[in-house]
Amino acid sequence: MRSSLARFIEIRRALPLLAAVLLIAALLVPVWEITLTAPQYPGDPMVIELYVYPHLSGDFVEIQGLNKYAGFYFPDPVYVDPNYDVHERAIDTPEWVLGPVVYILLALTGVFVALAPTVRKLKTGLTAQFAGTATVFLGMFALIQYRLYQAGHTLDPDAPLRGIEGFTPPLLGSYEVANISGFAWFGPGGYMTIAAIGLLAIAYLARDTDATVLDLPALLRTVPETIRARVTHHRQRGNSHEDRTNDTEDREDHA
Amino acid sequence: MTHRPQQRPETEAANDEQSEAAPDEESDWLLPGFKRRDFMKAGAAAGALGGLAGCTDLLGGNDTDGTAAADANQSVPPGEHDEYYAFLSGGQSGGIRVYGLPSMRELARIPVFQPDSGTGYGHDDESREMLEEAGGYTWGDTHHPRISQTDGDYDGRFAYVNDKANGRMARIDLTYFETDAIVDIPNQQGTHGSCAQLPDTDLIFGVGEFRVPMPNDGRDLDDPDAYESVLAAIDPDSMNVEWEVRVDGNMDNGDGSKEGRYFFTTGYNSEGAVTEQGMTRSERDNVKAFDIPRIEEAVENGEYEVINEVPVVDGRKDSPLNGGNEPIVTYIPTPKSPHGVSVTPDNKYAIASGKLDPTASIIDIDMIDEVDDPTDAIIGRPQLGLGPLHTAYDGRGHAYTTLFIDSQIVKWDIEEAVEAEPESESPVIEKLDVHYNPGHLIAAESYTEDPAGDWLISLNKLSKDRFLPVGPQHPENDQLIYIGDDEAGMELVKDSPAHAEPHDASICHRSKLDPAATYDSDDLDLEYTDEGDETMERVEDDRVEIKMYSTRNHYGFQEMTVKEGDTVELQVTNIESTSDLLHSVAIPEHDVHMRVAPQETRKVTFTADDPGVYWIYCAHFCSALHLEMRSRLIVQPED
Repeated sequence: MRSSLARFIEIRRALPLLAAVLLIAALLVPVWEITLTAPQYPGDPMVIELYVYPHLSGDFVEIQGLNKYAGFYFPDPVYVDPNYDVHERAIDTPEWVLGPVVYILLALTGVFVALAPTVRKLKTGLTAQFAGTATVFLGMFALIQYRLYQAGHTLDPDAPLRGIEGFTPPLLGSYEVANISGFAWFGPGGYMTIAAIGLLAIAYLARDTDATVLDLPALLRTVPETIRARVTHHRQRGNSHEDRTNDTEDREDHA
Repeated sequence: MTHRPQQRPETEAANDEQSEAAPDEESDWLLPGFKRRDFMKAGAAAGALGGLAGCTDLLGGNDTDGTAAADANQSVPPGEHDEYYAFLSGGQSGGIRVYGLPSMRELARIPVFQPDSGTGYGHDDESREMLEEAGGYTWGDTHHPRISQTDGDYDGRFAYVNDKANGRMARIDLTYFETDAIVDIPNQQGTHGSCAQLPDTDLIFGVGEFRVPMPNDGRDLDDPDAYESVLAAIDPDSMNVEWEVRVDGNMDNGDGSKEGRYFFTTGYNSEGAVTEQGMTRSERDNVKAFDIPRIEEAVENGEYEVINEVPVVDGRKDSPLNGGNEPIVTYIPTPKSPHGVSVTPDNKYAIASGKLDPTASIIDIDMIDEVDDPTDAIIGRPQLGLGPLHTAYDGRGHAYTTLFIDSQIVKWDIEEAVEAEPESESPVIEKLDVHYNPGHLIAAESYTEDPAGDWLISLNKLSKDRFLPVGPQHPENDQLIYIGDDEAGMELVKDSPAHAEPHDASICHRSKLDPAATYDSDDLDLEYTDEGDETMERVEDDRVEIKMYSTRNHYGFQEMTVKEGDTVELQVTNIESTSDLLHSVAIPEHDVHMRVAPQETRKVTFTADDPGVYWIYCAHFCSALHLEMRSRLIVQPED
C-alpha cells in the first residue's frame, strides 16, 4: 500500500489530473480554426480562430466584411459583448458563454475523481468521468453543428448578393460557399481537448492496475524496439531504393 | 557555354519555387518527388528548347546564387513573375515606366513630375504641394532613372531621376513606388544626366545641360560667351543641393567611377555657340572628369561663390582651382561632341561615345591624374559605326554601344580596343540591327559592379513600320535583346511599343527590391482615422475639417454638409488591410481624385464654390458593391 501522496503517480490518478490541466489551458488558446481561401486572396488564406468563450481572433474582420455580402453573420452570444460587431439578425447562441463553465467543471470533476479515497470509488469515478466527458463533448459537437446549420440557413434576405443557397459548414472538414473554400479543424485548444479525452480514456483503461507513471519509460522503451524491427524489415526489402530518411537514421541512433 | 563565366540557370522562368529549390540539393535528394516537380515546372516554363538543359543546370550545383536565368526564351507564362524590374524613363510624359523583364510587360507607371489621376498623385495635398514647391509645372522630361546602390550593388531603396525640362531631380521611394521628394536645382536649366556617387549613393549628381547666364536673372542676355552650366551635387536624404561646379561648355550625360572619386560628364558645344552650325564646328569636345574629393575640399575651404543660396565652385578651365597639379575638373578632349559616358564594371575605364564621330574613347581612369596632357588618358578608340551614343556592359569584358545613325547595336571587346590601333574596327565582335535609331541601351544591372549579362534593352527613338499604325505620332520602340550567349551572338527577341519618350533605363534583379503590399501607417505623416473615430468640425467661419475612413463599401460619412464658399479639408484613411483593395475619393466637378490604398491616409483641400449635391464616389473598383460606395457632398447656398 502506497502512501497517500505516492498514489498520485499511479497512471489512473495522474492522467485525470493532467487532463484537468489541459482543459484549463485550452481556455487560453483557440479551440477551433476555420481557414478560408478565395480566388482574390491568392496564396494568402484567411484564418478565423474561435475560443471556448465568445471571442474571435485571426482575420475575422476581413471575413465579417465578406460575410456581409451573403448575409451570413457571426453568432450573437446574447449575454456578453464579444470582440466583434454583432449584427442584429445574427442567430442567438447564448450557450457560448457556458463554454468555460463546462471546461472548468470537467476539470474539477477530474480532480475530484483523482482524489477518490478508495480504489473502488476511483474506478467508478474514472468510468463516470470518461463517459461523462465524452458525452458532454459529443453533445457540444452536436449543438455546434446544429448552430452551424442554423447560421447557414438563415442568410439575411436583405443582404446585397443573390444566388447563394443556404449551406451547412461542417464542424470539422471542408466546405464551399460562393467563391470561398472553407476548412474547419481543431485549434490548439481543440487538440488539448482531444488529448484530455484521450488521457481520460487511458486512465479508464488503466483503472485496474496500480502501475505508476514511473513505469511509463519501460512501457515506452518497447516502442523504439517495435519501430526498429519494422525499419530493419523495411530496409531489407527496399535496400536498392535508397529511400531512407533522416528520421529513420535518428531512430537508429537512439535505439 | 564556355563564354559564360557567371554560370546561371538556363531557364528564365526561375520562379520562387525553383530558385529556392535549386541551391538546396540535399532537400531534392531527400524528397525525390520535389526534384521531379521542378523538372516538370522548368520544362513547361522554358519550353521544349531550354527545358531539359535548364534542369541539368539547376541540379548541377553551379548556380548557387539562384539568380537570373536565361536563354533567349522571353516568355513568362500567365501567373509567373518576371526575373527583373526595368525602370524606364518616360521622357516628356514626366514619369517612370516599370517593366518586368523578360516579358516587357508594363507593371506600373510612376508619375514623377506630372499629376496623375490613376494614382491620385498631385491630387492630394501632400503631393500637390510637393509639385507646387518644385515649380508648379505640369510636366517634366525624365531621362535617367538610376537606382540607389550600396557596396556597388543595387539596394532597391530609391530611384532618382532628372527633369531635363525644368532643371529638377526627383527621388522615388521603391518601397511604395512613389515619388517622395523633388528638388528644383538652382542655377541649372535642363538637368540632363543624373547619377549617384558610388558605391554607396552618397551624392546624387544632376548634370546641367543648357548654358545660361549665371545667375540667369536678366544679365548677359546677348553674351553667349558668358553663359555657363553647372554640375549639382545633391544630398540623397535631404535632397538639398550641397554644392555646384560651374564649367565651360555644355554638359550632357554623366556617370560616376565605382569607388566614388570621379564623376564624368560628356559635353558638346565647347564652342559656346547658340546655333546648330556653331555647336558642331570643333573636332573635339570635352569629357569632364570632376574630382569629387578635391571639390569637397574646396567647398570646405570656402573657395566658392554663393549663387542663389548654393555654394558654386569654379571649375572653368581658367579657374585657379584647375591651375595646379590637382585640378578639380580635368577637361579631356574627346571626338566629337561625345554623348554618353559610362564606367566599366571593373572601374578601369570611362567610355565616351563620339556621337558625331564613329569612335568611342576609352579613358583610363587611373591615368587621368598622372598624364600631363589629358588626351593621353584616352588609351583606346575603336571605330564602332555611325552615331555611337551610349554603352552598356555584360560583365564579361564586352561593351554594347548604340549606333544612332546606323540603327544598330555594336558589341565589342573592351581590352581588344585598348590594344588595337585607334580607329581600328578589329575590336568589333558583331552588329545587330534595331528598329530604329537607338538612343540609350541598358543591360541588366549594367550600372553595378556585377552586371548580369543576360538581357539588354535598346530604347529606340523611332518605330516607323514596326507596329499597327496609330496616326502621325508613332510609338517608340523598346527592343529586348538576349546577350547571354556569346557564341550564338545577340538575339533580338521582342519589340515593345512605348509612349513618348524613352531615354535611359536601369534593370534590377527582383531579389533586390522589397515593395510593400500595403502602407505602414507609421510611414505617413497624417493621422490614421479608424472606424468610429471620424470627425467633422467647423474650425473657422468658412473652413470645415473632415476626417473619415473608407472601407468596403462606404465612407465614414454618408453625407457631408458644408456651406457655399467653405474651404473643405477632407482627410480619408483606407482602413482595409487586404492587399490591392484600393479606394479613392472622386469629387465630381471639383477636380479631385484622391487615391487611398490599404492603410493609407491622404488629405485633400478644396473649395465648395457652387451650391448643390455632389456624389463623392470610389473610382477604384473595390468590390461587388463598388458602385454603391458613395457619399453626398451637400453644399448649402449662402444665405
